[in-house]
Amino acid sequence: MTPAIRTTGLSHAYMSGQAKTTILHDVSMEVAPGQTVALIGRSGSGKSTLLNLISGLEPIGTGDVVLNGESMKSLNDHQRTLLRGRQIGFIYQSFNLIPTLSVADNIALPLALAGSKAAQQNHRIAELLTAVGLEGRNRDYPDRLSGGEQQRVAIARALIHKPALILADEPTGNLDANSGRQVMQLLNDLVSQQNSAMLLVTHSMEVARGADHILMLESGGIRRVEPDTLTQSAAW
Amino acid sequence: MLLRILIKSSWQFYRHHPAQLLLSILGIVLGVGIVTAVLITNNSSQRAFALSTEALYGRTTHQLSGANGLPQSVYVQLKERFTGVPMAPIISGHVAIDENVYSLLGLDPFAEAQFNRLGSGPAATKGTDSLPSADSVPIKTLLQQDALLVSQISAEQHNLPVNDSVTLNVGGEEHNAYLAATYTSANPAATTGLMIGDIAFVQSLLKRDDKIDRIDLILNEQQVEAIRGELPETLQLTPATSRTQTMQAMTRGFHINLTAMSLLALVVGAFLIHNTMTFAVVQRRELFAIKRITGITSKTLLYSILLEAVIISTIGSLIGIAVGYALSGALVQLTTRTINDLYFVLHVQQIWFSPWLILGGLVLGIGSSVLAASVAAFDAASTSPVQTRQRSLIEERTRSTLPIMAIGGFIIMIVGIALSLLPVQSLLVGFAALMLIILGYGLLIPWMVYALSRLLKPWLDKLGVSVSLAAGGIYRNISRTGLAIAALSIAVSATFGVDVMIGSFRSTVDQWLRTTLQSDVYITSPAASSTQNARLLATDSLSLAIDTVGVKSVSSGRSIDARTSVGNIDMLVIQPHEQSSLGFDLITSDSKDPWLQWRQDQTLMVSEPLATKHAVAAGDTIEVFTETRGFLPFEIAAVFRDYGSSHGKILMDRQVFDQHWNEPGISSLGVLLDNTDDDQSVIAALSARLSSSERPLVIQSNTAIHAQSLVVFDRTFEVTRVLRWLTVGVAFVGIFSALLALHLERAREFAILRASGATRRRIMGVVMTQTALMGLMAGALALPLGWLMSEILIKVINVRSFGWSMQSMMPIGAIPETLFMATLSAILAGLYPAYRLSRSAIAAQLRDD
Repeated sequence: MTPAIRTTGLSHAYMSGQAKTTILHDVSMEVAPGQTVALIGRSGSGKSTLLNLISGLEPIGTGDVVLNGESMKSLNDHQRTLLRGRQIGFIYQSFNLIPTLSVADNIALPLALAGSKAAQQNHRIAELLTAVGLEGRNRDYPDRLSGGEQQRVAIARALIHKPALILADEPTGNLDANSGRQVMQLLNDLVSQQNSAMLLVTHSMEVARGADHILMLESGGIRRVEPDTLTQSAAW
Repeated sequence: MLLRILIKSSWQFYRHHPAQLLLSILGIVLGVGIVTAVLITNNSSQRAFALSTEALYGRTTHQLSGANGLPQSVYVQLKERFTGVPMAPIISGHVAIDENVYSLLGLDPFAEAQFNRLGSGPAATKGTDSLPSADSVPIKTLLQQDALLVSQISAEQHNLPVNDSVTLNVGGEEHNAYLAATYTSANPAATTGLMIGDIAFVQSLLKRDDKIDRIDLILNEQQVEAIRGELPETLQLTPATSRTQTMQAMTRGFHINLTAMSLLALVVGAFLIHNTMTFAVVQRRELFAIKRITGITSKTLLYSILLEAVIISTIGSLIGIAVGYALSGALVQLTTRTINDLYFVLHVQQIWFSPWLILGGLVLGIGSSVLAASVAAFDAASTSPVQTRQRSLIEERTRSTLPIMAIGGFIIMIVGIALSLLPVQSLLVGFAALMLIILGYGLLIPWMVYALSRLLKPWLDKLGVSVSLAAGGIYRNISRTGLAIAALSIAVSATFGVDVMIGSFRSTVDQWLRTTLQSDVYITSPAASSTQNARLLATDSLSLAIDTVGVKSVSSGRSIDARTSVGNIDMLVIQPHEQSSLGFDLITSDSKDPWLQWRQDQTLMVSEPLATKHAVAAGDTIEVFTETRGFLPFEIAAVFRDYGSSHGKILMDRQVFDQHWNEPGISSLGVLLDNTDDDQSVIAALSARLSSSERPLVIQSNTAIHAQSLVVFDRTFEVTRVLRWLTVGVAFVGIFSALLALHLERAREFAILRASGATRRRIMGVVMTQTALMGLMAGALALPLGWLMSEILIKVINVRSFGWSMQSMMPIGAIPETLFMATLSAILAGLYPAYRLSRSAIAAQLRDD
């Protein structure tokens, strides 16, 4: 089966004055459709950089990222953006909803950008609002919703165009424990229903343990860790 | 202490947002700059006029004059009768050397001792061996053959050959004069462009025969009474200041108009300041929320924001004053030319800058900025820390305020319109009405933008996702877009309104010229300046013209400066030919045949500006100072349309004039041809018969005069056009800063769009479509206001400023031009923000706080 995402020999560095700082070094990994992989690591270990490279927000220097069988190495910004729009759904810690758009408009955004008809959008929006438990809230504005509700809207937006890959960056980071659990449950269910792959960045051991695999970024490299080896002393 | 910390915090914010700080300052700089430039310009020309008058009058307290000058013998008789009373005969006129026009003052050096004309100290001369005289005018220098003195500043400026002869152009004739010396006065700026000569020489140059213009006197109250008691009714003794006041009153409307145009720039500038200050506040709303949470009271927060506005506006105002000073150089040139075209010869050498102007600029700049910032400051201070973070709440609150603003705006507009309809002549009330209408409409605009963009949304949605997002962005961010569109709309409406006004005016003047120029060919003597009456023609010129082959009939005219009960007025005396009456469009008259009535004794017609300004009408009488019997009442037979003079004109029949003046001369001829196709050969024939080297003439066809008049007309409005473009410039900076701030505030939204698959091109497309839509809306909403402004300008301001009434006319293409200009301005202003947004780092924008 073609992995939803595969990185091979991915390296990334940036210049700070005269000094070169390596963030990622020879990172190879993959996530299969229907699979959830948790990515853990200390602050500054390169988790966000890896997500940026995978999503095409930053150009690839060394190595390659293959998204649903399509190499991103030789793509320019325009092509990467189009690929991202089709194949990736984002979920952020701070939700990143557009405050001046209603719940429905926020959810519809990826479909609208893809040029789909309003009728198709409406049907899918209604379906997802039900799925995330926000029926009847389509006209509300994001900043009138609770954190948990906002994250549900973000989940609906990430899934509306049925992307191959969901990138979730600390999706429970701004939520209380109970809301966090509910959101993760919902996210796992919906991703699994759609057979999408999910790469989940988290600091929460509880959330990480719920994933199929756990990868740890450390000193620029990546390694797989077993859920039972995660301890309270892990400083991430 | 706390305030100091808050200000330091603001400073840190602006350090990281230097562009925003610059734009805030730029708005104030431009607004204050334009107002200051106009204030300096007005001040400079008024001061130049006042100073030159003061310098020329010296210690003169009174002036004695007749209906059209006075015989030289009067001076001799007066001198004998009132021995010991300081008096001096004066003749003044204009001469030209090359292209430069100079005022020429003829005076009697022996009579000048006590007048001290050129300043408080003794004037000094250079280039002669004469010592600085104890008198103001050095006697020895002026007594040389054909000698003239010229102000040193003018000699240097125009490279005049001192101690050498020069060729003077006096009404088209060439005369030699000896430039004996230069003089300096206590205030050189007051005597720029002034030449002085002995009265006898000047009399011969200006062909005044045995006449002088006036007698200047230094009198105490008893002497005034004594002289008045003995004067015949044909002579008048007036205080020296009265003439100055009359001339200053002439240009009052012109100066007020300029000031009003500049204030419009300040109003647009205030919108700009409001925009930038609002954004600066809005961007920090979370910071303000943290400050409120940490215990800072809303009052302290309010003071800190207002103090910030004071600091920024003080910097902006000071730079604005400097910019205004620099700009005033060019404006002074434009306004001086207009004053010379329309009113009187004026030399403005010096830019007058006073501490009051600095104070005025600071008050205007700081006042308008604090006022503009206060809305945002009150909003930030009164919002609870929790609400401050809710963006949608701001929009919701704005949306709920829109109808209230609209109703308020509508009421203000109605008050403005009602004020404009009041039957008063006050120009200031007219401008107050105009400003209220602008303000009221400005408050209506955000509501109209919201309604319009919601109304159009379903149709715009069909044009694709970029257009849909762009259109939605306008009403969803109405708290930001509404003001930006209002600022641009007001500036564009001013352009449209002024365009319609100038277009209507030009079209009216064009039509009026076609009507008024009934003769085919006009003959006059050349004049040194357009505001000076032409010199007299030869006595036989009328008969010679009538006898010329191809000439059907001839009318004659004579222009004099008549003293009347309503001030000094240009009086045109005509002996009409059969078509002359067709050249006057009579607006009101009191009889069935006004032309027949006009031919009766002590009857005249007045122009519309005179009737409007002095509230006289057909059937009323005005007193005119005649040469033979002093002041006499004349009945107004009719009021005629006239755009040639804003201070009014009197039309008198030649036979009536001859009964009361001993002035047989004529200064112009209007020739009606047998065949108009042959006008060039008749002009050549007339030129051959009437012209000579001693009496050069200007013989022009009516089409040439028509064209020349329109050139002067266009030149008159150049300064208005400059101010109008400066206002558009302010609005452009306004919309630029508004769009930049708006889009920077929405940078995260655009990053979300980018992350969701929107390409850079699409982001550019969304932003540019949005700015274009905003521009188009601003243009469309500017049209009704522009039309209303033009109506007020035409029906109220012009009538009250100049006394001219005219028909409104929409110039072809004004509407599409306005829409295009507004859209283009917005697109240009949106280019940089769009580029910046499309290039911004998505990951950084999306980073969690």
